[in-house]
This record gives sequence, structure tokens and C-alpha cells, in this order.
Amino acid sequence: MKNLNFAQMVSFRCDNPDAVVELAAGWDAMQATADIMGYIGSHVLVDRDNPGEYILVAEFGVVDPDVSAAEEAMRNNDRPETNEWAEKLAAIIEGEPSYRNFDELYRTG
Amino acid sequence: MATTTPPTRNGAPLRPAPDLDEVTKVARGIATAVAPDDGVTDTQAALLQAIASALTGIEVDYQDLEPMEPDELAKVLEGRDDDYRQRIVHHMVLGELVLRPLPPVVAARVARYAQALGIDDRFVRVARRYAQGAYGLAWMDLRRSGFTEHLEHTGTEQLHTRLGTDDPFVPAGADPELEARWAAFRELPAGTLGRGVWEMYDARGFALPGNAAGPTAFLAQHDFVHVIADYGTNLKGELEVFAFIGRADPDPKGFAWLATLVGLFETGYIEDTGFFERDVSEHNIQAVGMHHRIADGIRRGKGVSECYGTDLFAVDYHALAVRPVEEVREILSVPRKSVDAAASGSAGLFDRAGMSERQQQYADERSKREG
Repeated sequence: MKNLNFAQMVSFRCDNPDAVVELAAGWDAMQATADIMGYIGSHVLVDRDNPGEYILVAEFGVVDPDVSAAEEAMRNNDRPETNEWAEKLAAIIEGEPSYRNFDELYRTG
Repeated sequence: MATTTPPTRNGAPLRPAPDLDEVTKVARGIATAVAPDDGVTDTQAALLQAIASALTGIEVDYQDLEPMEPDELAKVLEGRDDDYRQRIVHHMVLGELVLRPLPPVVAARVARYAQALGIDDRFVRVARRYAQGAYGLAWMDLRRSGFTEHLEHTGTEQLHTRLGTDDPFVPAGADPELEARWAAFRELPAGTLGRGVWEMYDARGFALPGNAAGPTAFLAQHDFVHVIADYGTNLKGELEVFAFIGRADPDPKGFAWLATLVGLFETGYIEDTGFFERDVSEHNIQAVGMHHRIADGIRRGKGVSECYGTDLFAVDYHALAVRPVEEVREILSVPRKSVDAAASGSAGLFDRAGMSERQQQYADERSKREG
């Protein structure tokens, strides 16, 4: 089976989107200069119809042809810095975030 | 009995030149590392072959080589120092950076070769990010590892600007004193470095450094090198000048320049650097003769690195501006362009062929206006 990219979607409510964006940018800067691979990037999206509701989509790709993108993401989840980041996110959102996992089936170009 | 002292350059012993056997074996290792499933591409083969030829004088056909595993290559290079082995890894990385798509299996394989050679290299990581599609992170990594960290060690006194240089590529505003300093180059005698760089700006209608519309003082350093190395200012000329500058840097991080320009002007992995924007309307590495021109830029840069031994971005060109260009070339130990590069179309800075279409258009309109 072809190696597919993987995405994790985190849904949450929040009244401080700037802090979420700052947190996402900080994560990117940290990932970019670390030897940790697999993470491609993320989107922070706001729901136009439901103010205060957000999703964060983190994408993962194949680094080692023998390891799927989903496995790379799970490895990433197990890292202490990821847990630390999740704790920071939890501190700026309302209630509990919900997580969903997706395999990518298609991407434009 | 007479004794001999090994020849030295820049205070360091000269490395023994690789012989045919070593060059062939290294080529086998590089070709095996960078080959996609169908074998090395024509672009990879032409570029790597031209580099091997320019640096060693030995011709190797990259399309017709036996495979060589990482451990075997490590054995071939065990007598070479870290710097030499890192440069070999950079040839591999260059070989993979010209691929789009860059298969993850190739990027992972190059990483294994680097590991076998004992080289921990950031550019290997950048290539792996390209392979997985993490282009944004790759540029952040390249920018940080290749430029920002490097600049922290270079210093900024040679730039003669009072503006901050936190971001070397984003103008921090106007600096009238710096602009006046550059404008004064116009008064220098013809044939001097300063007059040459002023004429380059003038002929193309470029705003001077220090002007809010001009380049940063840091980036403008490379314009002196256009004059010194006699490279044009179209995309092909920029590839040549940065192949030269990158390899002239004794710090292997100088490879960031060529890696960046390949991403901008060949594969499009990089969208915007702040100093150049992506332009893949023509694949410039694949263009006729460009493999020889880039290889010659690397060869000339290597000569500067070995004899002069200073990052060309760290040179105080303002102090050299009054000197004839030829004298500055001697000071920096700049080798002449090769016959191959010239025959492959390497244009000089003041040749029309060394200008972009837009620059030619500017020159033509100005010529008409001035009768």
C-alpha cells in the first residue's frame, strides 16, 4: 500500500486565538531545527459560523519508507516536548480538546 | 639528505589530490546514494560529473558506475578529514536537491551514507524535509542553520551600516550615510572595485544599499563578488556567483547558498527568501552548459577557500573599493574562469547575456532616452 500522509485534527474552544497561533509558530520553529522528523506543518482554522471554535490540523509525512506517516505521528506524540506543548495548549483553551486522526487520500498537485 | 616541506596553502598542509581510483570509487558511492529507482537522472549525472571533473581533472561517467554501499565508501574516505568527507556529503545533497519529487527513499539513503561517513549535516536534514513535503519547515531550517547562525559568527563591521542586521535579508529602513558611501563609488577611477559595483547598479537601475528600496548591506556584499568573479546578474549568473561564494566559505555551512538557489531557480522548493523569489519558468540547472558553469563556480570557490580562507560575506570590500579589480582578485586568490565554463556560456557581469530580460529592457530604454 502506498505510504499516505497523516493528519491529526484538534478541535477546541478558545477566546485567545493569538496565543494559539503563537504556540503553533513556536512549535514550528522548534521542529524546524530539531532532528525530529515526520511533522510537515499545521493549520489553525477558525469556524466562521461558530465564533470561538477552532481546529488545528497537524500534518505528518513519510520520512523512512518503512515507517508510515501515522506511525511517525504516534512517535511524535510520545515525545516529552509534544506533551509539554499539549499542556500549554490546554492552558489557553476552554474545556477539553477533541482529537481525530486521518489518513490522506488525495492532495492537489 | 635533503628534506622537503609539504606545500601549504592558508597555513594548512595541502591535501593529496585524489587519484583516478579514489575519484571513481567516490563517484560510485555518490551515484548509489542519490539514484532514484530508475537510476541517476541526466541532470544529476551531468552536474556531478562536471563537479568531479572541475575539482579533480578526472572524468567519470556517472551513468555507468557499479554500486557502492555506505560502509565501502567510508573505507575509501577513512584517510580524509571531516571537512573533506562533509564536502562529499554536500555533493550527495546537491545531487538529491535537483530532484523533484525527491523520493523519501533517496533522502533516507543519503542520510545513511552521511552517517557511515561520520558526518552530521543539517543539509541532509533539509533534504529529508523536502522529501516528506515539509517545504516550510525546510526553509526555516535552512535559513536558521545556514544563514542566521552563520551570520552570528561573521560580524557586521564590514557592512558599514548602522541599521540592525537581525534579519540579513529584510531591509531595516534607510541609511543615508551608507547610500552616500555607495554613491561615492561613482567618483572612483574606472577599473576599480568600487567603480565596478557602482556601474553594475547604475546599468541595471538598482537602488543602492542604504536606500529604502535597495538591498540590505549584508546581501549587497555579494554584488562586490559579481564584479570580482565576473558573473552576470540573471538567474544563471546568480547560481554561479552563489556556487562560488558558498564554496569559498571555509565553513561548510556556506553550502546553504547553493542549496537555496537550487530551491529557488530549479526545483521551486523555496518560494521566497526575502532576497529572491522563486522562478522556475526555466529549470536553470538543466539549461545547456549550466552543469559546467556551476561546477566551475565551485572550483573557483574552493581555490579561494584554500588560499584566502575567509567567508566572502565577511570581507570589508569598502576598504578594497579603491583598488583595481584585478588586484582584488589577486588578494582574494580568485582563480580565473575555466575554458569549459566560458564555452558553456558563462557571461561576464557587463555582457548583455549576463543580464536578465528586465535588466536588458532597462538598459535599452535608458540608451534610447540618452540618445
